[in-house]
Amino acid sequence: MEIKETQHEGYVTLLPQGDLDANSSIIMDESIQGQIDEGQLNIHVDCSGLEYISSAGLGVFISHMDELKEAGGQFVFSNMSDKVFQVFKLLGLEALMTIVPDRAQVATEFT
Amino acid sequence: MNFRVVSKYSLLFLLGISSWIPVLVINIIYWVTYLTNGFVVYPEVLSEPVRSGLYAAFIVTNYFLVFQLIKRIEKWDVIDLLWKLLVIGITGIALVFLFTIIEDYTIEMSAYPQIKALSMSVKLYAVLIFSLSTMFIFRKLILYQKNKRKVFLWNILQGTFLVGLLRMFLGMQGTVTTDFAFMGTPVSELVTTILLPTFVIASLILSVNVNWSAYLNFNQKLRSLFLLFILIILFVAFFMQFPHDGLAYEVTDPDANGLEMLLSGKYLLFAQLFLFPLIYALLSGLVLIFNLQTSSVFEQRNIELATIQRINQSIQSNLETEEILRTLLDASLLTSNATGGWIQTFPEGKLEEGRLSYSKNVSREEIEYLKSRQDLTLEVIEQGRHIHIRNLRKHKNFRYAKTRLRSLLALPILTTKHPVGVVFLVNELSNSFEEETILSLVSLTEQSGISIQNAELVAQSIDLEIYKEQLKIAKRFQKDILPQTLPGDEQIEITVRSQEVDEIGGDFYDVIQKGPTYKIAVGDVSGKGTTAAFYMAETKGIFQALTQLDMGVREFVLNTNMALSNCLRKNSFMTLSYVHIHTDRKEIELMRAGHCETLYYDSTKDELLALDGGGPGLAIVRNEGYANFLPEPERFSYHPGDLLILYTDGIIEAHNEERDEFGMDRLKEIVFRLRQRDSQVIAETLVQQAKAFTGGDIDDDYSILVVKFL
Repeated sequence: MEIKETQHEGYVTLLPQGDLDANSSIIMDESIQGQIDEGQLNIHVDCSGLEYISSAGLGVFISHMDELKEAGGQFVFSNMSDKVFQVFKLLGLEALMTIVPDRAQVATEFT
Repeated sequence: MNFRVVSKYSLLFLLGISSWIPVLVINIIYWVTYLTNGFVVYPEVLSEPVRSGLYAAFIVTNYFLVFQLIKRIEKWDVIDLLWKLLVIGITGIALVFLFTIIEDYTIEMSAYPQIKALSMSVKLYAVLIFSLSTMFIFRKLILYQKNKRKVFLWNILQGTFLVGLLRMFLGMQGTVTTDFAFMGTPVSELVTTILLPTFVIASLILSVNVNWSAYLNFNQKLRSLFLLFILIILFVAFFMQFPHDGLAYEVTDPDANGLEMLLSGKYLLFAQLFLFPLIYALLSGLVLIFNLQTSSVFEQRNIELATIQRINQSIQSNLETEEILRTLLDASLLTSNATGGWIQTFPEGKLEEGRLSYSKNVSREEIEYLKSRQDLTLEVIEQGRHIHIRNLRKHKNFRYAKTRLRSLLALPILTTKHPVGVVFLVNELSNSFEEETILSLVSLTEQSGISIQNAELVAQSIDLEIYKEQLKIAKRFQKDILPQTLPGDEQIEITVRSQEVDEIGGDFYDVIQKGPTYKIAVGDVSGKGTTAAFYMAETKGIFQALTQLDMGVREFVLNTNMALSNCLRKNSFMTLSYVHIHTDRKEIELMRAGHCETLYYDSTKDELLALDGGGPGLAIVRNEGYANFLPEPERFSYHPGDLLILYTDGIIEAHNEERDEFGMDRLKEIVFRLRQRDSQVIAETLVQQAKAFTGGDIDDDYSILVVKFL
């Protein structure tokens, strides 16, 4: 999988392409860890290119969720396909993470 | 030995002895008439052709006798063959001397002519047997590793021998009657002048064939030399005692000595019987003397071969790389006569982590000192071949080195996968490693590399076997964790179907019955494989512990969340559906923690529901705050004929080649269709249908648990 990283005013956008499973979760984890190491705690994940997410893929976001929250940052997810959203919802993550319909709402979530 | 063989040799012996009797008779007549009359008178029947015929028969018969006896010796051993010959020779010469003494004592007696005749005949027989034995035993030596050329030459030799036999006949004819002439020369003379040189030349050429001597070690060569020396002495002794007057088929000058007789050419046959063995014994003796010092080289090679063999064997019996390296160093030192040596190894093939493994007769300081001048280790590995420094003092990097060592040889130990190390050999003498030795050492280290690789492969396959065995145990262990038979009674029927694809997986389910209450959990640890399986096992422990306590459904989920939060790694979590079925008041309590929705079939309304109420998965919110996200459990009454279906995502995510998923809708549809059937039918059909959908097997872990209320 490929992850495109774009810096914005106050946050970074990660744009993963393809499936997020046990193998690609390592790449996602490195990408997120890289942002945190650079002090970027506001991470926007654009899910428009995400076709499938496995439990291991979810584990990456879950593992960094508390860390970001404690440091004053957060994840914001946008442009989720219905299928991916159902996975988040089933796991109860919609109550724990910020999920917005599209990019337009992202910036306001980080203010 | 069977009867036929025995009788064959007895017959030959008998023939040999009988052929000698006429010779004895002729001799008696010769000596009796000669000593009484001063001249020899033979009876009519014993005319000259008859006499020479009898002699010829005597020779031919014994020729075959000896040929057969020697052919019988199957063991090919130079020393043994020469010993046998020596025994025959000594016996023969003893007989010759014994009869000489008897002759001397009986010279005044009236029976003297008879005794003289007997003595002559016995001596003749002894000489014949010894000469023939020598010839055939030498034949065995010459034709060792035979080729066409050798056999051809031998046949010439044997051919001249036959002609010699004929010549004896002709020669006698020549003296008595007229000789056959060819271009003015008597045939008998012609035969002698052509055949004798042919014979001598063939003998000389054949005598160079001492191949067998190459296979003798120094000691054996010395022994062979000694035996040959004694044999030559025996020949000379026989020669001196040659019973020329025993050849009494012809009137001879009794005073002529053996040598003169032989050289006269009329006794070509006897010349052959003497000349050839003598030539061969002398020449092979000389070859042995000249090859004495080369035997040490052969022995050295033998030691090396034996060492390589030892290494091979030590590998077969010992699979330790360490042991192979130690043997290699010992063997290299032995082969090269080096002052000392050491082995530098690379644990796990990492070149930068070179380590001094073994050293012999070289101090660590010396090794470090040489290394500080120039580290040859990497160079040898990179080149993949040995480096030889003939003289350290003349080498650019080692010049003026303060060391007793003068020459150095470094050989790489390589496997096809990675370098193992480098063998260093050093010597206090310069130019001490010969090309030959280096070649041996190269093959030795190459052999060791192969052996080490084999050892590694064996070790790996053992590890793999152990790992597989462990996995088997783990799988069996998991089977115990996931019960195959579940409790049930007249009010409730529970069936489960599950599969783990990775030998061990992360699906979890368990059912326990506490009085009228059935407590059911179906869950799934994130990820797959061993890690997930370990967490699954922990969940089993938590489930078994908490269900023993009188605890509500929500409390159970909260407690399990806290417990798992402490055990699971940060990126792992678990989803769970937890159910209490109270058979006494016919009530279901159900809580979903991030898990797939539980299906409930209500028989009174004939409808199938997906129960989606619940909270986040376990170990996601790892603190007391989790309670804020967790609602009250769903609570409702059930009726006979109702169904409860719990499952993991493996079944709904089962997909075909086009990546279409089996999905909730198909699951619901099948359950609804089978709503009147028992739990086994429903569970089994669901699995079969999901498999049919994928067009093969489901490539994920799955569990389906069906509860039917009766």
